[in-house]
Amino acid sequence: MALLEVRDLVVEFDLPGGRVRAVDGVTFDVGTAEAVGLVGESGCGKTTTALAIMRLLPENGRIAAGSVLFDGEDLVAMKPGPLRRKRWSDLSIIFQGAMNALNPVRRVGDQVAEPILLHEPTVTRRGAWRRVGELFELVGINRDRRRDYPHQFSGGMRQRVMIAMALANRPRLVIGDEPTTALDVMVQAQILELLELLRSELGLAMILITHDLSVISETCDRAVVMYAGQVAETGTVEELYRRPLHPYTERLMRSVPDIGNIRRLPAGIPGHPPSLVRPPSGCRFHPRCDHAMETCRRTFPAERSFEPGHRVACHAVSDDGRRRAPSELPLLPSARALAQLDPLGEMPTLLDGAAAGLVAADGEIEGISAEGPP
Amino acid sequence: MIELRGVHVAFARRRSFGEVLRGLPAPSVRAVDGVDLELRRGEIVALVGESGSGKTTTGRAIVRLAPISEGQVLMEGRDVTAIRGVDLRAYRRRVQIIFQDPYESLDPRRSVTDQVTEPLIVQGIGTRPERRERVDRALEEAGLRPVALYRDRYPHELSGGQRQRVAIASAMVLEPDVLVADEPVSMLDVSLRSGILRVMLDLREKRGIGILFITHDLSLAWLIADRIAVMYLGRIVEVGPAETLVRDPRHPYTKALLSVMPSPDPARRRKRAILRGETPDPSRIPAGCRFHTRCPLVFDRCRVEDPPDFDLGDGRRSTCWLAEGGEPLPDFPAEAPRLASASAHHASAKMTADAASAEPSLVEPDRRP
Amino acid sequence: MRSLRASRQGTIGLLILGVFALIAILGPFVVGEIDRAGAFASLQDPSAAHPLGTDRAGRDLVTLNVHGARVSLIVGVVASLLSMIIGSGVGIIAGYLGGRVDFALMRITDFFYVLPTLVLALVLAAILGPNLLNVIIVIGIASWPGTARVIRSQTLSVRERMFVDRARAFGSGNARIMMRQVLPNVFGLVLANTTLTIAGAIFLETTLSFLGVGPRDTYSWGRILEESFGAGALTLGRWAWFVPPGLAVVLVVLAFTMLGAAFDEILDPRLRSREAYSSGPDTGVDEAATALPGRA
Repeated sequence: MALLEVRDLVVEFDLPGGRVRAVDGVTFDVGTAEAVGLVGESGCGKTTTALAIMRLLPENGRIAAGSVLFDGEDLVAMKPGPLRRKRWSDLSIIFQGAMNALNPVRRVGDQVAEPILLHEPTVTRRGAWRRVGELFELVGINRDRRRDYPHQFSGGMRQRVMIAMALANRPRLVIGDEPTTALDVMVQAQILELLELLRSELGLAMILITHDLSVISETCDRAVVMYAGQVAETGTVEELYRRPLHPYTERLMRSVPDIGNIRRLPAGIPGHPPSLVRPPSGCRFHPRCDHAMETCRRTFPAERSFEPGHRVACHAVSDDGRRRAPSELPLLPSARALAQLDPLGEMPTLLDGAAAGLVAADGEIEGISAEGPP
Repeated sequence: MIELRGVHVAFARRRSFGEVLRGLPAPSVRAVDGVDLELRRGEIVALVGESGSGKTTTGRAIVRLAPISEGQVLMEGRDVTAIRGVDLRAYRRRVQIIFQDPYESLDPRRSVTDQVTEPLIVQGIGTRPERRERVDRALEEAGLRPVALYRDRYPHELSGGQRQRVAIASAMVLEPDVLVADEPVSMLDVSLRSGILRVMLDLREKRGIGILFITHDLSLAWLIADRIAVMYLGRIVEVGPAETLVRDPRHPYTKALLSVMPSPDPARRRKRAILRGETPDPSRIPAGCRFHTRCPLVFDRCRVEDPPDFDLGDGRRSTCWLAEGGEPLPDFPAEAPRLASASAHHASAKMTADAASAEPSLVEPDRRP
Repeated sequence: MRSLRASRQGTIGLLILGVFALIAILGPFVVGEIDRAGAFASLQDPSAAHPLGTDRAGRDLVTLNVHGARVSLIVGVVASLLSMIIGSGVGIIAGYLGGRVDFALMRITDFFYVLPTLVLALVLAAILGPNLLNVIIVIGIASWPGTARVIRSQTLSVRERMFVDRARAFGSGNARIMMRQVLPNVFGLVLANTTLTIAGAIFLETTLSFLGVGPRDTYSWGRILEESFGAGALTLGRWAWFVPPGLAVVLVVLAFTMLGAAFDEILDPRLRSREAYSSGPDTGVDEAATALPGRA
């Protein structure tokens, strides 16, 4: 049994536009001391999933179905009292935009001490203060800076403060929501190195949420690729990189420039992520997919498992774990147009002065009505 | 075509109350501290640096949105540093800028057509029907097709990628010779970036414009640029053709940046040279070589003497004492593992004095003023 | 702006104002001109012929009140318009240009701001003479500094926004930027501010009239109140004389205030949060969940 088991999680929001399912049947595990990445573009539901796990959804959101088992106990079914005790002492979270989440008028040491004092009533103020000092050292901040205020820290240092705060009660699992966004690349490397060290030295389990694939492959063992509120593919980072089964995963992988490989403009993915108020029918990725068939438009593909621990929800994947090429499939007209634009599986590059007239705005192909935004 | 010679941009920072009391003069923030750069017609030069490097300010200085305190900006040999009025307007027609934030750079209350037409009106170009045509063409070239679909839209009805295209259209409608692109894709989803990059490459192909591509992402620079210039604390520390710079960096900062660049390939978790601390505050630039406080290859001379730009031939320059001889850089020394105190923390309830006195893992950066 | 109806306050305010506007515009045609002195018996009690009775000079009170609506509203609106134009102009110019211009303009603004409004109004009314036009001018002068300050601070923040930079980058001059970039983006605030200014203006006019320095050439509610008190209506219990105008003023001021509050509600948080929410036409629920600016 894994440390954290998320099963068929469904999260709904009440928005002025209607009821929206931000997360629609998400399943994944996190083992002890394992780092799992939750990756996807904006609006795919990854942050919502994290908030749901912590039971920190805003007023207009609720967990409509599914379970979140931490050490065997279902957090969804838990009452507020025991839940609050579990929060922070077993699971904690580093919020997105954490750098702005610090209270500007209180000393950072006090802010980090707060969860300690809250959760462990036997600890004295001095004891808590001392622990804060230890935590600061752990994350690489000089202990003398406990008395400083947030504005005296740079972005990277503030992020370390947030990490210290998340570790205050010695949790077993930490969720990092975009922990390195908006940080310089050097600072990003520092923070990722820190997280990795914490994981190996403290045996921490981690869920890293990011849109940046390279962060995932740097720091995580496994990754869950999300699209429009659902899981497209799950597997080890090696598998996802070398043998991505879902077309979205592959496209995503190839969207990231890779120094050291051939100098080539990444392919990108035509269209935009869909609106979740009225998501596309069947497989939500089908309007943008060059492997899409009739069945993709009609039914949502069931998740299938392949060795080793590799799961994918895609009709184009055959039963023996291979993704069939577009030429082998009865494609939808939209998919055919996309495949045409992209014969080698990559868009023509202009670095060599090749023809560019094919591709239209954001990859909006003429003649296709992309679902979602008008 | 555009040349910067020894350009400095300095801002006076507000003094803190304590500083006022002590009668200290307002410290100057040397955002751009002596930059030499050329941008030729049809060339894409990437200006790469982290925050505090001065890259954005340099870009803004070129379009005269930042005050130049010293040095010259030359356009086709003519000094445009201090021009005003009609001359400035004429200059602005030829040199345009796109900003980082697609949400903020458009006026939320005006339609797409309005915003792309406005530059033409301001510059007094064309009659109304002529303007309509130019606007349509600009929108098309930016990839917003069919144009009819986008003309009357408002920014909040568009996605980030589309907004950025509108911004590009409004810059290109003037048919400038030079485009300064300030982090044009960093706020867009990864899958949308190629579209924008493609538009820019297109513009270079078709119109021969020169592009100054400002970014913090070295891999992006490598992808799109002919030449890369790396900035640190207001100076360009290395410049050269993209491929060679990436293969054979001649400045330790470049080398470090290259080694920490994230890669999607998990097999490439290579040895990363992670610099300690953070970039110093631009109001307190270190003496000697400004990079010496964080340089893994630092030696005595670096702490005392500020190196000049060494010309390495083939359009390569490096501002490092190690580059003087024209030799490739030595390898960085190996790093000692950190966090000696980590296991002690979690394993035991209280910290022992020994563990507490273990070497802190990072050099403290300067406190924020 | 149709979302005004969504706000309960806004709807009520709008309704009340609608009623009074109707009275002000159409009323005089219904009730006819203000009667000459002595047209009817003075100090009559309310009756079928005169639902509110008559005043000391024998004029029908209903007629007076209806005309009063027109006057009070005109004064309120026109004076506020004046104040808004001056105030916005000063605010935008000072805020955008900064430096010495800002300093100079703001000191002038401060000067007018700290003068006690009532005293200023009294003095000016005494000097200029108590007619309608002068009262409007007086109120306008007394009210503009408030507007100027508010608009200036909004301008300061609009000035820093990227699209203003962009306008400079393609060669827009200051005047053009102030008109085309700044003004439309502070306009919402101007509108909200103006409704509150109108409320204040109407109240101020009523006060001035009550004190006897209001317009002497027409009848406003304040003047009705003045005359009623002068004739001892309060002690005599002639409620039909002084209650209707007083009530009318209160209702109208209340209505404008509610409208102003509704505007505030609509413009500020919605607009700001809309921009924080929007990652484009699709609802990025991640962004909605965390309520922080999201990525495209």
